[in-house]
Amino acid sequence: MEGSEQRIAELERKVAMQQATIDAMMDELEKRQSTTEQTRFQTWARQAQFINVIQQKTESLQAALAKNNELTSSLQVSESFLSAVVDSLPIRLAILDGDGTVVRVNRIWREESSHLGPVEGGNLLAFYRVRSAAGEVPPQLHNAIASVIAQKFPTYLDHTEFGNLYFQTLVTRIPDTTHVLVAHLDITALIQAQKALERERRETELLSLVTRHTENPIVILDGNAKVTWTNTAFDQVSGMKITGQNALAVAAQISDDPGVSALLGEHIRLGRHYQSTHSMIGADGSRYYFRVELKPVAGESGTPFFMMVLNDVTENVRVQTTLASERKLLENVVSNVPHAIYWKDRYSRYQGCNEAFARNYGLTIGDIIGKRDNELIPGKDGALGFARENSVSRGGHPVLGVEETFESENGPQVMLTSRVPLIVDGQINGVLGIFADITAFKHMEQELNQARRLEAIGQLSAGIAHEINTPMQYIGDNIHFMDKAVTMLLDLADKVDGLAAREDGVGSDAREWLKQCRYQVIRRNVPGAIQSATEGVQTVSQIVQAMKAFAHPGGRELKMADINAGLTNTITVSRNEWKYVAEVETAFAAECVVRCNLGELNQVFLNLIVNAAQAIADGVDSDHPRGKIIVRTADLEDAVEVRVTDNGPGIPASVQPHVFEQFFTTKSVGKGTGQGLALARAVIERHHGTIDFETSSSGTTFRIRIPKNHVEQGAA
Amino acid sequence: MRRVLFVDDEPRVLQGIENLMFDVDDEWEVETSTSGAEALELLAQSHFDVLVSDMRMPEMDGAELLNRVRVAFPNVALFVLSGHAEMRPLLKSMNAVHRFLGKPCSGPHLIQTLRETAELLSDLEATTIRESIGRVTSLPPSTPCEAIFPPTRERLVACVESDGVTALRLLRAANLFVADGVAHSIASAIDHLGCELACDIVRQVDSVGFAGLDQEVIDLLNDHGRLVALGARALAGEAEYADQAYVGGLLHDVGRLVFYVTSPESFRGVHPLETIELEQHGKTHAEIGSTILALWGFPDELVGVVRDHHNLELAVASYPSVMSCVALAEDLMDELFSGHPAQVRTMMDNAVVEEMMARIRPVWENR
Repeated sequence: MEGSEQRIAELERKVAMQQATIDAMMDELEKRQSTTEQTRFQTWARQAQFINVIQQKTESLQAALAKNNELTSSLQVSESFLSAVVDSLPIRLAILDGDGTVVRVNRIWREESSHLGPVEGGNLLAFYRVRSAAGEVPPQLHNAIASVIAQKFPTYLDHTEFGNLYFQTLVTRIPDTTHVLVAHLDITALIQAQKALERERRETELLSLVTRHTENPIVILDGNAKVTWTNTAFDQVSGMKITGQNALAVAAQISDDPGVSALLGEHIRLGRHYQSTHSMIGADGSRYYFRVELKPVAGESGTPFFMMVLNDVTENVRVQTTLASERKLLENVVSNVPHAIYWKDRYSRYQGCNEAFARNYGLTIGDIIGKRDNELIPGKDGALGFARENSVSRGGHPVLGVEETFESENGPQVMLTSRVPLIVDGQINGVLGIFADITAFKHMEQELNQARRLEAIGQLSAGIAHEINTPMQYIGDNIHFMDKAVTMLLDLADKVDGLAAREDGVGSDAREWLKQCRYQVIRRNVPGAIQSATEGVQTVSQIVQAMKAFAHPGGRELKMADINAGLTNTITVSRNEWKYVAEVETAFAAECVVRCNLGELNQVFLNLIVNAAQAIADGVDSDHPRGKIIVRTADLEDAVEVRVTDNGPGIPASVQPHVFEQFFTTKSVGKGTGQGLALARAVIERHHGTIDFETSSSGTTFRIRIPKNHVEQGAA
Repeated sequence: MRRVLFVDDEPRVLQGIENLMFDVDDEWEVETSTSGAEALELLAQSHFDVLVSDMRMPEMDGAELLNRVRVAFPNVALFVLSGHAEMRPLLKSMNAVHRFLGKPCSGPHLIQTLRETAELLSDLEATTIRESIGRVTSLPPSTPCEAIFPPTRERLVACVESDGVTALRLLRAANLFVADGVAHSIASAIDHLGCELACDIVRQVDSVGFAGLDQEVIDLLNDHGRLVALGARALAGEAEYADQAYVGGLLHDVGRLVFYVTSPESFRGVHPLETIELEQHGKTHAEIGSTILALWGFPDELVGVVRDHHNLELAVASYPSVMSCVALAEDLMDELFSGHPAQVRTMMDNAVVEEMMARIRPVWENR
């Protein structure tokens, strides 16, 4: 009995030890519940081992119990201990007999797991069969238990899923008995944790993939600005692998923005969020602009790290730069173009203009913006412009290339105007006006027209001259011949006349012949007739020569030419203009040869002579029947001077300032175009000369000076 | 009797001229023709001293007729009598034409011009020289002026001044187209003609005149002329005739050029003895040169320079003058060239000669 007591004591000790072990394991189990996957699996494995151990111990305990029936009372004590142990286990335990009837369950089975199986007296096999059929329990559980009972295999160990719960299920025969132990270890939490972890892992994997392959370069730094990770985009764009390096050093190296490194360092030190745009030179050597965002991220272990995301804004920056430079260009164009440009809103208020436009108004750009025309210059008649602008800004159709004349301080200003609708976002938002000052071109055009007219007149008169010259040649030759011939004939007739004095028949015949041909009249008139015919031929020749020389179809080149000859020709061709109102007197210097375009100068002389004649004509009355025009030339040291003086009534003071203005005329319609003196001045200026006048109530003198020694550089 | 042929498409003009020439029918035998083709036939049948042609005619115009006559009958003196004012059509035949007369031309003036020409031509009895006159002004220049672009007045002046043949042509054109004796200097000729026309005249070179000639000889004559011209201008100094002196120097040996063009095979170098000239041509180069310039209406002063440029006594007596500058420049230049003392050293005060030499020497040294 003593040995039996010893064994019981030993058992008790063992049970106590087991209890302690179980406690420790439970502690561990709880503690590990929330640890990493691996640890959980380890726990699980340990638990499985533990179950095995329990099983083995239980087996040996029961074996011992069986062997020591005699020690029943002690055993009962032991059994109660064991029950306590078993009941306290978090594993659902059930012992079945050979037909599946539950012999014994532990506390947790009984109290919390009725849905997992019946308590003592119920048949677990039957229960599982029913539940399997209902799909509530995996069918293999029933099979496993049946197989273990039937001793097909000794132990079954597998996961079992009951609804939402997961169990590690152990079915094993209790050795030397027909009993079977069914143990369910609840691993739901474990499985769920595992699943959550798996989901997280996949998510992480996905995130990592996204991060690695996103187009945005990403750099992860630790709290010391050391690069711990970079993505492909960063590697590609920077052309280097910087993991492990100091990000600030790298930044200083790849960014051409000297402050960026310090800025980043400061933010990293303070753990602050940072965002700004920086440029860097990429691996391809071109400049990139990045929106850099540095985000402090709290690490799992509590140590901060930084995620730096770079957003490539190179294209944006480029577009902005291009836009800025285009804008600059446009501003340059608008401000430097010689045309006046303005733009107005739909209510005809100036929204902007260029310098040229402001200058036209004599205002600054600032004065103009926001105003209407009538506010800028009171009383300014902008009606025509307004009407045009209105039709443009309402109708949306541009009005291009309109010639308009505006009054300005310097006389009329001819503008080629264009107005186009100002379209912003598809809406007509106002009107854009472009005014080109073509006053100078108009003047040039008129001069050119005049020159063309002159050229045409020149060609025409050259042709006419040729036509007249040919008959004049033979008229002249024949008159010359007739002069000689008639002189001889008259000599002959004189001899006949001498015979007439004779008293004989010859004498009477001679008297008769001379009487018949009215000799006395012929003798008296023929020399004069021939003389005046000769003079007539000379006069016509002179006029034709003058006409030819006046028109002077010699192009626009400057040549040496005699001003005196030009004046003589001009006076000749303009005879009809002055001969009824005035006499022309000339007082020419001996030599007046100067480099000039005589064709153009003749035109100027003609203007002066015709003007003089008309001035005199205005004053011709019974008291002053005929006026006088005096044309003088003088050979000055360095110039040739021409003066045309009339004794007309003079130029009224009010008219004097406008004499040389384009289109200015005091003459009635049809008598003049008002271009004469303006053109004269243009011609004289082209000769680098001067033209001016003196006038009083007793007459006017126009004076022209043409320099002798002005040689145009490079003129062909 | 001299023979003259008038060509005009207007028969009444011809009739009028025939009537006009009635006055001088003891000097001139007159033929007329209403077309160029007929005129060529008449020229082929018998000799004429002068041909007077209109410019504008149907079928064959005056320019074409003159050019044909110039080649086929080079010893006929050619006049133009035209009512047409434009000069440009005349350019092509300008080397052939002696005189340009505008219609209407008074009878006495026409007769006077014919007479003067006849007298000058009688100085050139040797027909070979008469034939070559028209060729002299179409010779190619030693320095081609075509390269000058754009043709500014200054460049044209510089170009023409460097080449005697071109200067001769240009001055002649000024006489022909503007007025006889109008141009005393290259610049004034260009100013009278205008740069455009002057440029065209400068380029008016043809191969007719050049046939059988050696450019080297022409260049030698040309170089000599330019050197004397520079010397003459240096002697003239600030005088207002400095440019005339230059032209005188440039053209003083035009007679030698005519001799060379007339018979290149018997040409005896640039400085043959006058006795040889007389032997060969019956005239000295000075006589021939001055006659030709007179024929072409050059200013009398220039004609005198060419005629008298070997007359050092006259030169010394008239110093300073255009003529003396040219004659003395050539004489002094010759001393530098040959080493023989200048003839003028025996005729003038040594100080004066040395003063002149001081002006000539830099020209020689920078030649």
